[in-house]
Amino acid sequence: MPSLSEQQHSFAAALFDNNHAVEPMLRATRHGSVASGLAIYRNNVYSNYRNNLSHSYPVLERLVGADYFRQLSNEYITATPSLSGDVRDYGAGYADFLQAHRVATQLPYLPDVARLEWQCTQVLARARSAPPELGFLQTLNSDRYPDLQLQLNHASALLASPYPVLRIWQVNQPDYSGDQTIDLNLGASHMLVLRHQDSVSVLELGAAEFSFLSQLQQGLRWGEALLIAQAITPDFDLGGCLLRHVNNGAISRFIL
Amino acid sequence: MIKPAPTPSRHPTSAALAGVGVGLRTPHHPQFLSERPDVAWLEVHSENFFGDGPGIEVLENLRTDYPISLHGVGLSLGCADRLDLAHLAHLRRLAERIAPQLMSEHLCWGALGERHLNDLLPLPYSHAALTLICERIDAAQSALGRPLLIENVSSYLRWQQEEYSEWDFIATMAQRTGCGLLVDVNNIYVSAINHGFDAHTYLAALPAARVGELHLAGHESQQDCLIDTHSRPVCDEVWDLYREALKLYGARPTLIEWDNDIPALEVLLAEAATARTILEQHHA
Repeated sequence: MPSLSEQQHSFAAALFDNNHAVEPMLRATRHGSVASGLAIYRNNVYSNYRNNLSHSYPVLERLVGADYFRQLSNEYITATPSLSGDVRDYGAGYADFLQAHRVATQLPYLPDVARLEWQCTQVLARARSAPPELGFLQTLNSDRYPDLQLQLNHASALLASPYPVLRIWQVNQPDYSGDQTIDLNLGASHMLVLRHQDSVSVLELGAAEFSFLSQLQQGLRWGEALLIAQAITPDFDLGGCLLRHVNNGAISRFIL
Repeated sequence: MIKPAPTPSRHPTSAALAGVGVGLRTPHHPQFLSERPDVAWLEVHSENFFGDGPGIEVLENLRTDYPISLHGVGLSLGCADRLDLAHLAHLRRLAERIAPQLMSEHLCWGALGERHLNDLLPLPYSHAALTLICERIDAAQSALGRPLLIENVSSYLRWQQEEYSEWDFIATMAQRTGCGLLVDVNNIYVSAINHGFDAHTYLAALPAARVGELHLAGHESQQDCLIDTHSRPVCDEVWDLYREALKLYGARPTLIEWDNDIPALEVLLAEAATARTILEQHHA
């Protein structure tokens, strides 16, 4: 008699690998067959994952169409085990899967659209940091500013792509009603994903602004991050950048 | 003004909850927040409130007006390879945050080693599976510091290795672990039709004193097999079985579940009103 673990592994192999070894271990319903019973479970498992992927990647689904999205998702599900009992965690690897898929040769921006959508779901699931204590800055001599480290909001993410991913994402939102055309030669997107109460927004950043925030996120000090940003854009507007991201909540803390 | 949440019961079948509740689902959050519809309590899928997304704030708000039941779908107690301690820790954190009146899980497996299948798959009703599920329930109850209700699942296949009937397996499990039972009346009906056993025998074999909650939901039929889709109103046969369950077990907190093709809240509340009428007739 197979052990309980062997029974369960054989059952899973029938769902994902089309392996029939489990069939003699099972009894069918009154009017069905073992194969039809396994098909019900396979359909339940796959549709649960597909629904979750549709929920996490609505723009992707819209871009490739529901039928092709279903096919891509089935391929992804077969190739990618879930590692969490919370099904909402499923789909983290979709962008990498698309990157290696033949679809990316025709639609090279798709993986980055997937990365943006995944970040949107992740940022929405995180608690927002409190706004920064600005009183602390007023007490600090301004020549110490370059030594400051800045912490970004826990519920935020930075993302860059060589494609106009933000424009693609925006025109594919359900409430978007403007011009649908997208010029793929628009070039790179630098994006900040930021949580609000019940939603996220995606803001377009300048290349130097993106670099400045990314360096801060990685722990560099204000002065060091500023030098790198100025190498990209010599007249980088530091004051404007700080004001914008303190006001929108992206910067949550100044640390000396 | 935030009311403190009532203290959770230490016994799974004591009157921690009463009356008819509904499963709280995302499309109904705004209406619950603004209108506070008249239902006795709310049940949520625990995993949907892991993390710090907008949902947890909704639940923290609603728990001030409704008793809450946390119903887990992802712990996979019957996984032979391991108990997912990280998942259990998430459940514990959620329970500390929400202070639910009840917590429940399923009699099933849904994972292999590190891999989750995120489904409620049937166990063989074998001595080995009974030993394992009892160990896992003990471990989970001990980690959570409270008793759990364990729910029977619908099935579309059975294992050849069957050393107990499903109902004897469940009764023995409850006796050995001290867990409570969440009796899903629709699941019993679905499995009884699919496998050709008598739903009345099943209901009568469960220890009444351990039954802490009843579930009602709708199912669909696909090529002579009933599928537990939670996408329809409760059918007449299941309402009849519900009346019988109340006779056998006494009044028990009852939940209307609806997870797919989720209707307008009014439809869900009408189902709950039907259940409430039956529950009150039982009292009368």
